[in-house]
Amino acid sequence: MASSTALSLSSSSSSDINVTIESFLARLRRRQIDSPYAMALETLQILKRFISAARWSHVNELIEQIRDLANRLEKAQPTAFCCGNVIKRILAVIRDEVEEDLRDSLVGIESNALINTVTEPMISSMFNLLQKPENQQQPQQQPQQLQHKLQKNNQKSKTDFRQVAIQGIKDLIDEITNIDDGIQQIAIDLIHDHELLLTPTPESKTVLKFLIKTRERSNRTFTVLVTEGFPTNTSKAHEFAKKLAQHNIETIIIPDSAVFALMSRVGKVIIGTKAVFVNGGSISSTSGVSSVCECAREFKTPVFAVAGLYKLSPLYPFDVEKFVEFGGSQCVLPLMDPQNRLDIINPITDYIPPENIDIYITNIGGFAPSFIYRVAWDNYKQVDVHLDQVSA
Amino acid sequence: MQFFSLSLSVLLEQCLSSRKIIKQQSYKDYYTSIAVVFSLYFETMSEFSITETYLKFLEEDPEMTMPIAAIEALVTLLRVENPKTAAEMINTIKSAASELTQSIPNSISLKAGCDIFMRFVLKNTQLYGDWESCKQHLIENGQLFVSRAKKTRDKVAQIGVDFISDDDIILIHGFSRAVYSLLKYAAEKFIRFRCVVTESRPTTQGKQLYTLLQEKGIPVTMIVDSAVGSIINQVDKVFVGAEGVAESGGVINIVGTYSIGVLAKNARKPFYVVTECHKFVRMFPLSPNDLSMPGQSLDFTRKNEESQEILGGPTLDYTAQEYITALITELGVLTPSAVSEELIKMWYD
Amino acid sequence: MTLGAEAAEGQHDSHATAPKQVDDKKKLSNKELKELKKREKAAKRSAKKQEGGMSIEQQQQQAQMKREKKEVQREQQLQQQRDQQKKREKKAMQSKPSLKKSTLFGHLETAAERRATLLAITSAITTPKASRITASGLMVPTIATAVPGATATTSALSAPNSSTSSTSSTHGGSSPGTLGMGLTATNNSQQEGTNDLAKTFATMTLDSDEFSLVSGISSVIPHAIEQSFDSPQMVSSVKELLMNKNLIHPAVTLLTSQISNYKIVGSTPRCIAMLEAFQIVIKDYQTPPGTTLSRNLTNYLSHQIDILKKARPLNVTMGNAIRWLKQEISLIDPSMADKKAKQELCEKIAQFAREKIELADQLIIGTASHHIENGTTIVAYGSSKVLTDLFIYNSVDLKKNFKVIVVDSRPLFEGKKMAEALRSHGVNVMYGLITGLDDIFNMDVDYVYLGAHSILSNGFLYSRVGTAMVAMTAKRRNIPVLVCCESLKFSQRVQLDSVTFNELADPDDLIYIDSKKSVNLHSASSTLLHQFLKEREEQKKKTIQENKSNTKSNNSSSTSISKPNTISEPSGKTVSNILDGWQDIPSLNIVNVLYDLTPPEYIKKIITEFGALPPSSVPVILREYKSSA
Repeated sequence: MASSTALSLSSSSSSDINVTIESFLARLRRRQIDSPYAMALETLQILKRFISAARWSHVNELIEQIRDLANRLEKAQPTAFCCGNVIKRILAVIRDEVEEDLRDSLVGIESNALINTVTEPMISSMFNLLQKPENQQQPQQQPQQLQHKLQKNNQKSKTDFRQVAIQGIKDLIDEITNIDDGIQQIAIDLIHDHELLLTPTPESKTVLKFLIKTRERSNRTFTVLVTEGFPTNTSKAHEFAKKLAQHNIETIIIPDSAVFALMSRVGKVIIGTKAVFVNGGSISSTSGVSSVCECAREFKTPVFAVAGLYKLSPLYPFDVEKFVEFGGSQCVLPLMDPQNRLDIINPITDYIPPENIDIYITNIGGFAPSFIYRVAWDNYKQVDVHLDQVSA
Repeated sequence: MQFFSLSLSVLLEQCLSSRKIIKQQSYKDYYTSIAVVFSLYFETMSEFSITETYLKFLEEDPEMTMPIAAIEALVTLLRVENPKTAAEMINTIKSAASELTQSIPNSISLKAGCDIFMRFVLKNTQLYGDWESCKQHLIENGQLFVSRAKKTRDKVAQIGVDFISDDDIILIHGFSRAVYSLLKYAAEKFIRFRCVVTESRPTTQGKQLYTLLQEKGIPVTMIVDSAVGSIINQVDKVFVGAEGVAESGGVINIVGTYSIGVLAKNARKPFYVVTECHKFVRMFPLSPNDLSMPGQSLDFTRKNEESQEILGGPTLDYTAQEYITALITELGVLTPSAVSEELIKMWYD
Repeated sequence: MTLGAEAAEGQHDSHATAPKQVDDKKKLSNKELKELKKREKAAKRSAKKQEGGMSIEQQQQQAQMKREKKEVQREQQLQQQRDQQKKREKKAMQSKPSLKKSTLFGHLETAAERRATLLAITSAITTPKASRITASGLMVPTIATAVPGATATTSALSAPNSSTSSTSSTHGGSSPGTLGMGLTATNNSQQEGTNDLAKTFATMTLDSDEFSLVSGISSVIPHAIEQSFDSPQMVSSVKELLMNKNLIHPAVTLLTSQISNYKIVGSTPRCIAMLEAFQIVIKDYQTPPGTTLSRNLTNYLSHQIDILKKARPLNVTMGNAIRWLKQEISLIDPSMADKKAKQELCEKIAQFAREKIELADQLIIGTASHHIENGTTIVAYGSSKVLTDLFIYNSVDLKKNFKVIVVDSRPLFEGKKMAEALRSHGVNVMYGLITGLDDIFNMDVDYVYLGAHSILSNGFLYSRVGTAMVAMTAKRRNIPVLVCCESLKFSQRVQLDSVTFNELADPDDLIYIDSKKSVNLHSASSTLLHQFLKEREEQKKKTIQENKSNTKSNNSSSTSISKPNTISEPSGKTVSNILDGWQDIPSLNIVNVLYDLTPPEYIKKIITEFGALPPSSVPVILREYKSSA
């Protein structure tokens, strides 16, 4: 797989892209890009150039090359999910097109049964058991047939897929840059006049923009409590609060410990997310958010999470500890007595289980956490979930 | 005539015993021979009992689950009756299915099998009009469903293995082939975990699972059902199987599952249901005993003889979806809403 | 609009504001135009850059540009609206005193109010000896250290000495006449209540002779207070305190300053320190002629308590101890000789401290030790004297091998102290912050041990803010929560949530992000310094404003307004925080509550010297305790 990539990228123009990818990988490894938003956009730009430069004889090769790239990006920073997410979505777009292509070329040639399986892949799920045995062999036959077809009109379909992928990337970039509008339209109606809101994720631009826009557009006054997110996000929290206050929103900064004391007065909790998983759980890039959400659950205060669709990851958080990151001790205890060192635990991200979130507001609508899986499978293909595994 | 039927039964006996002796014999041969025997037999007898066939299937193959047995029985029925029109076929299946569900006391998962079968037939005949080929397909491939069902379990195990990690203590209630295959798979993957098995009274399922796990070399201990409350804090997760998965995403399973679910939720332990998705059934029970089954209501009548079994009460209960962390099926790890989505897709589209 | 201009505008007379507004509008439109142009240029530039690239990208860029343009237009409108709103707010601000109170805790006494009172009193006490800083320099450079309570204040005051003189040499001489005028104007515009107060100050300072208010010069201290006092009750209470200032014992003053600077924290240490101070007070006490000790001492002590209250509100332990002490005093036989009575009282106080605190702690440690076994993991929150002793006893004396996870929180970082104390005794300690609670509780925790500030009659635990969160997290994971608490901390009070009754700490504690610079930086002294600097800056701006209005025409205001801003930035602070000057943003608030309430359902067991009991039995112990005390 890797060798084929290397081969196809051996031309002079593609070595250029390789340099770009390498530098991007290096920056990912060094965590020089911290905002998922920037990360997603940059990944897409690189993917666009990658696809423009890539060469392939068959669309499956292109898919493999993209998977390989995505795998490298994911390996560079395993907890930055959005790189993989956006590439996986482009892969889904390509795969959809492949299926479409296949169906078009097979119309009238094959029996009804095949069309049945192609048009209704999900319906067969429960009927898998009773499906005709031919269908079992179909997947194996498909690539050969496909290859056959594609070899016939090779030239046509090749340019086609490049175009499709690049169009897909453009659409996605468009979607990501316009995420806030979509979220605001849905979320504005969730806030009433004189409501007291609490946000434990001050680093989230989405939350900030949402609050500011809500204040400006709808004629509602509300108060926002901002927790400090000590130790990693305190400066961001202060900036966040300052910006809100400058936009004429009543803002109160509270220490992280005061959440319980004030929760009984809070109307709603708003959180931003770093990644959303298929089970409806999410990762936030501030520690302490899961405690806040737990507290909200205890007080039956609704929690809503705002997230762009690109943060939705098709992974299932089997092992939460794998996704939560820990920071160094220097910002917790900067001056430690070298003789009497203390063990310090300093998580910098947090996993929020789905039961502590009431609703997700995304740019395509609001969803209950239990329904996130469906949104995920609408946008991703199951085969692309684990990129380090060889696709069938 | 009588002689003929006698010889047939001898032949049948031979077939069955040979299958027991020679394990390697392919299922296809075995099933076709059985099917031939059955059909010949019933043709001569001119009377076919769906219930008996069903029970026979269950008895013959311990690996077979109830829904699969029901499907097999219905396939056999089709083969025997060999309906001439689509309407006749549908009516035959309908009446047989209702007969089957009524005659068997524990009919939940059986109903699921019948439902899927019925729906499949209806869909194929109505949508594509080629009921003949559909019938043909069903009759010819009886054995395929069984082997597929087993493959399904392997798929469930592959998906679910991520839920088991080293050093886990897992509580299992009842015996479920899906749960067992998952544990087996995890042990084969060299995950080191320990199991706590409940006795699962009034059945002997606990003992059954205990022996199987011990054979596999998995550390296991058995507790009485009533001890769950006192050990729940020491276990890491709970796995149960399912007789049927209701539309709400809740499960119907051997009695005691509900109480364990409540205890697990109280102790904030994850509670996973491991099941194949052909057990999804169109039911929506409202309470743990809302299953419309005999034995659900309490019986206070005086027992006359001393020898009579004094133990009464339900043998199944319903665990609502709020107690379930996730359903592990071959379609992936599902939330309750995914179950209703699957069912809705199956019935309305 | 810069802040400097606002402030200056605020100080101006009303007739000056009308032309100013017109001027503002013009300036704004200029600014907007510039911004618009800049954006367009940027968009064009980026478009040019893209020309070399792919054609589709270009299209997209164009679309983006169009969108941007629209957005810019929208923003313009919004900007205008915003600015108008700001102006309106500013006007509102001018009419109101600038004291900040959050909507949630408006009923509670803020730290600023307490500090102001304290400042007033310390200044009153120290005036005869200490120097006075005025806006135009240090008036009398003699620094007195006679009163220990005033040391912090005076030493801080001496610090800006050099800088003040230097600034005054550059700016102070520019126009002293106008400066004085401006200040008198502000003084005139003060509300009646503060006028009243100023009068008291005047009389006070006159009382303490040597000084009289020099007209045209406002001293730092009174100005700080003027800002903070807007309620008549506050003024009267301060007045009362000031009247009785001569009665206050130096030991109490010292204690007050220590408590207010968080030098002594924790309810038990505060109580012990108070009892010790009272011992000194009683020793030094002389019964005035005409009364008896048993009658007058109570009265005398309540004056001491009044000022002590201003450091931080009394905690339950202190309240209980005071109640006990007053009762003891009233029980003293009037015929007993003063000296003997005083000695007896001192002994009783010492005995009380030993019995109710030290012996009780030992009993508690004995009971609580049963739960600690080898291999146990314990979570503790914040700092508690009993718990520290408990862990050290179990580790050192009982040689148990267990792990303590100390959870800590901003801004006091009390847990750090406890973690270090435990570590130095060889206890296996892990340190984490409250934000990492979820991960801490993922580590097989066996018990949560909590200290208490007080336990209320309805079983609620009133303790350091964050305790409730820890208890809740533990409860949700089925981990038992044990509270170690002397029965002295039991209170008759009932309370349902943390908002109705609480203590507000200084919001400025939260503006420092670096954990190194925690509490000790912002004691009363530094706020005084800040106040001083602020006043200086205001004056500077004012003088410049005055100069400008004399020399330049109003049209070119934008350049000259930016000038004082650039001057003021580097002049004052060495460490800049994002939230410096948060008081100037009208809708920004910082709430720093000190306590929260933990509901009884989160608590498994309360360990007292009477043994272990469930939270529901608190009233039982209270009855018992009341009869025994």
